[in-house]
Amino acid sequence: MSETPISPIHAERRARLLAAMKEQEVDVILSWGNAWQSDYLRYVTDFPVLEGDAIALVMADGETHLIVEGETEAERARVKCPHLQVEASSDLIDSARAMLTKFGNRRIATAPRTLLPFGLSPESLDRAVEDGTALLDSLLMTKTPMEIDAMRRSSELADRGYQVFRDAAKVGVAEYELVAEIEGFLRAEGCAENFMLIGTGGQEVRGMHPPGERRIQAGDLVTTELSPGVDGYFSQICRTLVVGEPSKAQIDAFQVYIEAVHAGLSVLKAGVTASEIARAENDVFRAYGLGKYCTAEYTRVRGHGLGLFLDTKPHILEDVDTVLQEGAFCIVHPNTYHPVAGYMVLGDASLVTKDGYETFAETPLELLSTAA
Amino acid sequence: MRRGLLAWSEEEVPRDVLDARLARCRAAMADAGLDALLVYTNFPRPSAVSWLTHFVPYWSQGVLTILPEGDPVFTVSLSKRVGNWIEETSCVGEIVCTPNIGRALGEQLTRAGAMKRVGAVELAKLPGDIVVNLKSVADGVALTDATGLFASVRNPADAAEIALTVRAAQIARDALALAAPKGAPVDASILSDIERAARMQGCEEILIDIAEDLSADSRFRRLDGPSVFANRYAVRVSVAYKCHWVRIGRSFEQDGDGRSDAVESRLADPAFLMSGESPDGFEPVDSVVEGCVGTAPLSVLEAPSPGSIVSVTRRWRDSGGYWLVSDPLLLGAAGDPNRRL
Repeated sequence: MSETPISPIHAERRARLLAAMKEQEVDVILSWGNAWQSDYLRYVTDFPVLEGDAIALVMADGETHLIVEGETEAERARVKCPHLQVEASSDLIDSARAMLTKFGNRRIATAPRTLLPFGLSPESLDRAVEDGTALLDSLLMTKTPMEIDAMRRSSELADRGYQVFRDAAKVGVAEYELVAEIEGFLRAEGCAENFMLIGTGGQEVRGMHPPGERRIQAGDLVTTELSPGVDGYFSQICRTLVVGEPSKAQIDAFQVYIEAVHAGLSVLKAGVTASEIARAENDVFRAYGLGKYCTAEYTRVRGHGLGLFLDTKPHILEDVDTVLQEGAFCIVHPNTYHPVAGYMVLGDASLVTKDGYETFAETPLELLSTAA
Repeated sequence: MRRGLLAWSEEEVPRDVLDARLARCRAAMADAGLDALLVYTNFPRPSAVSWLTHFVPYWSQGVLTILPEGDPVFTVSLSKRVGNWIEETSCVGEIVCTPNIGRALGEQLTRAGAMKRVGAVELAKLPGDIVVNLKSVADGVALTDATGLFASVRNPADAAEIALTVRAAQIARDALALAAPKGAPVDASILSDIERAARMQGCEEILIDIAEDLSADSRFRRLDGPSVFANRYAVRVSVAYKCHWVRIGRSFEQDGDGRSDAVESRLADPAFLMSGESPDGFEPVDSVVEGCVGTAPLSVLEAPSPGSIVSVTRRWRDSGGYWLVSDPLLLGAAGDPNRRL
């Protein structure tokens, strides 16, 4: 097994982290992550958690401890990340508490605060810990050239993956069989991480979900959001496919999404707030009398950040005032329910630049179709 | 984070099975003097709520509230439009969609009245925000850890759990068969075949670990790139079918001198893996027994209880290097023999 002790991209991340800790006079970062959301933990360790939860403790000199649940996961960590001091624990909280007691009065910051378990929360500890989420967020939200390169590769893979999806979406294919084709393709490309949701059907479909047993029928809308990760960096593509000839109702409905995604992208550039993007998208729906379909009753977000997690900050919503910086990566997707056609999706991952944005996808931003 | 098939079949998991599991919980709650039990779920910790409701999360988090009577209430930080999908794939009572789970739980407990002692499975691992927000509206509630209580009722496995685990094991075995040498040098391209085959059979999740050269290193790892395997290698798949997880691993030799067949013949004896014995010519290195007693699908078990389902990993060594095997078993209860799954 020939794992590099520390990858160049992680060496860069670690240098940025230690510089930020020094600037903010933080002695220890305690980070929590798991097989679902591990962006903060992966940023500080480079380890992709496969099973269970995990805790990392990063010292100001770079020494990093990783505590995982069980020997199976610990073995993976020791092979993948030999630069870490790995401990297998049957009680993560106790193990982390034991380490914290050794730190005396050193300044400890935790991140992300929202995931922190009760047993390590300020309410449970007999020592002070600070919220280090903003410190890590500042690093996570602005990508370096190496990170942008990884995002570019994952975006290109998403684009190619969508072509596989489009080719495999045939009448009679079950949702889970369609997903199996994509996952097999991604594995063949050396991509071990992906998140995807799917929706099939017509006007009755209200959203996307993991694949079920339903089989595709002629005339179905087949929606997906496909999010492969390359070197840990997730991109995303959202498209809507009609199996057969699109109906006039489907074409007319989708025009709203095309206009909305372009409206969102038209304001996307460094310095814009998430709320400005969301408002631009939603104004299109409102102009068509579809404003209520931009609410939480029908949709979750109008886009979101991308990076070491596929749904990272900022969420593109009208009440989120986070400013996107140059080097941020996000997807603008006005995905929601349409009362005539059903749930429709459209969006590409975009790199925020000084004057606008750059995307790496070649799949057209339009309603696609495949033979029935 | 790569969920495959998620669907509830009442033929596989009838409602009365879930009712019986709920009754086991309630009996234990009564014995412990608990007024309510909170059970957490998220992507890496789906198993306790799944065991009670069949729900498997693909996103976000939720808490199931079990009161002494009535349908459990499922509080999730998912938007309302996901409610229909939850109802289609699981058996829950009221579904409460909210961005503030803790506050909603506190309000539920307050409405139920007389909530003095409330148990929470794996209390220390509950997200701190949930506990703080719960207490902000239900300050009188005394939260107590109910990890042991839940573990005490989680086993033995019932017929539905055994059947679903058998299905997971069959998917895993069929996929793993693609890892065997077939004349040409074996490389990382088998991962794609394994992945696709398992998902085509309806697996919910598959993790594939490789030990590429057992002559030098017995450790498994996730493989992210190209690799040509050495003569002796091992592949382990961790497969979930409707939240029932198994680990099955096998070692292979590309010059095939019969070791695989010899080990396989020992594995046919369901007592072998738990016996501590080694196949002829091998010395023991270590072993791990994993099973489900809480929210995690597979945890290391020091003393698995009779009647429970476990995945056993054994590592042996001979002059050619290491030999790794993982297999699921149903541990015999009340004097019954173990059963291979």
